[in-house]
Amino acid sequence: MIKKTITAFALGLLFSLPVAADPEKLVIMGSDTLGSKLVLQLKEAYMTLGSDTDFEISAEGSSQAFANLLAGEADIGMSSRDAQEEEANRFLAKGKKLVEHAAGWDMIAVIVNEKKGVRKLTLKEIEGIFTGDIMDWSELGGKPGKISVYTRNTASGTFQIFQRLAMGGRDYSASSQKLAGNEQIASEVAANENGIGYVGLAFIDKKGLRAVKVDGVSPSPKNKGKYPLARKLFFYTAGEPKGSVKKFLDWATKSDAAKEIVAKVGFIPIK
Amino acid sequence: MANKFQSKGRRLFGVGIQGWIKGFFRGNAGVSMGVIFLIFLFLVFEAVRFFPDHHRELKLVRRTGQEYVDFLRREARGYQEISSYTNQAYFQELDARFGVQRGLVDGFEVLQGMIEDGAEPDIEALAEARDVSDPVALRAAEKRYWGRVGEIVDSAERSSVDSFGRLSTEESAWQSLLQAARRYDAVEEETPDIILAAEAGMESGMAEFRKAKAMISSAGSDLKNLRDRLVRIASATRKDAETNYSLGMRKKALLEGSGKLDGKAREEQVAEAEALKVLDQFPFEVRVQPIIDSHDEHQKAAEHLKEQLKKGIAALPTEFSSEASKRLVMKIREAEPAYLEALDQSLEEASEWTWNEEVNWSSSVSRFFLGKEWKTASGGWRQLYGFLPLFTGSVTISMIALCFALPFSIGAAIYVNQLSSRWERSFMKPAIEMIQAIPSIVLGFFGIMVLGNMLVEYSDSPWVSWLPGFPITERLNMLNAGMLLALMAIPTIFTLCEDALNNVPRSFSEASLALGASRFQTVQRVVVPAAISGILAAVLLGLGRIIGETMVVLLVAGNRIAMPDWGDGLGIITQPSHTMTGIIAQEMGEVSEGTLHYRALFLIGLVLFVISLLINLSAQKLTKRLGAHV
Repeated sequence: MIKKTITAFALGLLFSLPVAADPEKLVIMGSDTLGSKLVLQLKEAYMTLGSDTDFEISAEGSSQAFANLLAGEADIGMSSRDAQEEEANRFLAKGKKLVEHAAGWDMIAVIVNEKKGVRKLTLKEIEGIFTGDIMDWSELGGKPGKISVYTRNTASGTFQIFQRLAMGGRDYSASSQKLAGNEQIASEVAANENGIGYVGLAFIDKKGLRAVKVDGVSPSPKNKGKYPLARKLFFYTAGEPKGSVKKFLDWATKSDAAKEIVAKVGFIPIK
Repeated sequence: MANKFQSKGRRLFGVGIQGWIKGFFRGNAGVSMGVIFLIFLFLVFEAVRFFPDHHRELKLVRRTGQEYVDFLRREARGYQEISSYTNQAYFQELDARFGVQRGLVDGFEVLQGMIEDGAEPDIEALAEARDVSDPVALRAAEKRYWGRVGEIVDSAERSSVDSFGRLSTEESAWQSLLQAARRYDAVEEETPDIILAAEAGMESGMAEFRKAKAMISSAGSDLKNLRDRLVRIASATRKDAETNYSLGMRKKALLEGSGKLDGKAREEQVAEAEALKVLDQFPFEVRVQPIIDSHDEHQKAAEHLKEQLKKGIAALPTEFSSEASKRLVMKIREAEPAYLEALDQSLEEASEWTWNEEVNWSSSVSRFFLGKEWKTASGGWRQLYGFLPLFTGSVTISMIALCFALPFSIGAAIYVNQLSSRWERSFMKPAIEMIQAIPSIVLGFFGIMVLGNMLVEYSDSPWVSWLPGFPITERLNMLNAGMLLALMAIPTIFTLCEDALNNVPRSFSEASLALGASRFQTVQRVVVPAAISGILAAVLLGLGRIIGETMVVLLVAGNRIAMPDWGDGLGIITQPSHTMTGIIAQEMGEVSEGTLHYRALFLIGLVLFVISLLINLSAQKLTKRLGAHV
């Protein structure tokens, strides 16, 4: 019996150990556009400031942010689109409030394979391609070939904001292929001569890609205000942030060091 | 045996040590069974509630008029396809007949862009100098500008100017294009004569075709405009209805929550709740009226479309320089009657449509199991939960995988068990079984980076390009996924098959050999037939492994949620597709608990579970029959 008690005690100690030694942990979930580059670098820089905050970052798409903030699984949500009314209502119905913190500006670049020779597209053409009205490159003056459309998956904020900005809210073509992240889209388009897709500004420097001019404007920070497919990126919290969450968000959205990182990654800092 | 467990020695609560151990093992078995049962219950509990929710959704879609708008959307979609083929045919023909002219026009545009970007400061300086008319400054500016233009044109790469190689064999045209670009004045922006001539040539040469194309592409504009207008109306109705619903929920939550508060806080919360304007009955009848009223306009737009389309198609040329163009026009002519018939049918259904008709319960089920579209993004037009494309994807990939896995695994099992030397057997069996140790994420990565690239690269070669679906352009496709899954299934099928062969009593083959049969005859006529049900069971278990695999298909299958394009025949195997397992993995992260989407994913999980269960059960049945045989 004594042995058993000791074992139980030891087991209990073993399981409680990580909990006891745990410093403050920030769970950040949501957008792949934000989470797979920018927030990782923000975290690195924040850690070097001597903070003992622990981070857990998961980037599967903006919708993940809202689902997990609502469930209390995440402290901070990342989103590449603003919250929909329906989502805000869901928070209200649970007696919570969704609070928005701007993280930066981004442009959605439409990318094609370099070999294709397509350099510019109009918004109308982009709508046609992504809704499936235009099916072949020959319709756009290119070499004939069935267009392969690569999009993000439905959890993605980019998926939804692109639909709003570039497709007039129309549905994606049924033959579009839904990939998990910006990086995958970039590598599929780079590998497929007939491919087209879209990614955040921070992802266009891959070999074999070309970011086309949209309505004559190329996606680059200097064309801010002119490029038609620009959108704001956000952090979200459930209720006004407190404690370490507030400390991190204040630093990440307001400090000069953070703005420098935002610009370095390829986004445009909020003034 | 029982006595052994009743041994003497120390006892706790009247049970000996061995008794405790026995109880512990029994407990383990019981817990595993219990857990499986609980998982099943949980799945069923979450999944079956999909149907009432789905029914409510379908009802809402009817009340808001979204269902009616879908008629227009379908009609426009079919038309759009014909219009797209027409455009393709036009440009293919244009390329075949006026390739050089097109190369000139496009190439000049590229060069023009290069000059405008590369000589921007010089252009500005030149424009300024011309304005002030100072001859010295003007000369300097001119010199700098033309020098810069010359540099740009000289350094322009032929592959990026003539990106489609239209001028690759036309050396004189290429030279005159460069000449024209060198003389291009970016301030005056005057198009050179040679480009104007090329444009005029295309214009007149393609006049007839262009007229037909214009007729076809304008035929559907009324219908598309009406569709866009109705989409906006129905979407707004839908949004308002949903907001009204969630406000109602909020009011209820506030009122319920106020019960726990007291004093002033309570009054405040009640006041906040009362301030919310919630309609008890959302006025669908009023909101759907504009959609109902549009019916005549719909009919008229469709009639116009039909008339124009027929005229346009009749006006398409009959003589072609381009084979591709000829094929496309033939395709259009073939598609025309089918489309017109579908259009008439859709119009008829639309005129019978009423907004307040009850939605059948069975359609809640059938639209899931027979639905061909899966659309879940909340930003889109409406949510559609059609299971069929996912199911087809899973089944097709599994069949491809089985086709590859069967010969390898069964052949290897027969060889290793019956024909190999002991020495060969000692390394072959472990080697094949080792495949199982490769984590599926590694296989998926291999599929994208190695197998996918190889398929795209080598499918072009004349040796294989005649195969259906070849040459491949997408590196993520069902064939790729199927080949990787085959690799994962081979060890399972191989091991079980080998066991089945092993279970055939030695006396069978000995008797056969003693009667003078050769080794091969024995295998073919005696051993394999005796083990056949075990082999089938092995195949089924392999199939179970394949159909439940997630990581590889999610990474490699291409995630296109659509029915395969059956027109390609067997070539569908090189198309991308989505799967039942993949969709759960992909969309699980975004769903909020209790939503329709959440339940739909659970329902797919349940279907998967049932499929695996059936496969396993039949495998077990088969194995039992083997036991009876031998």
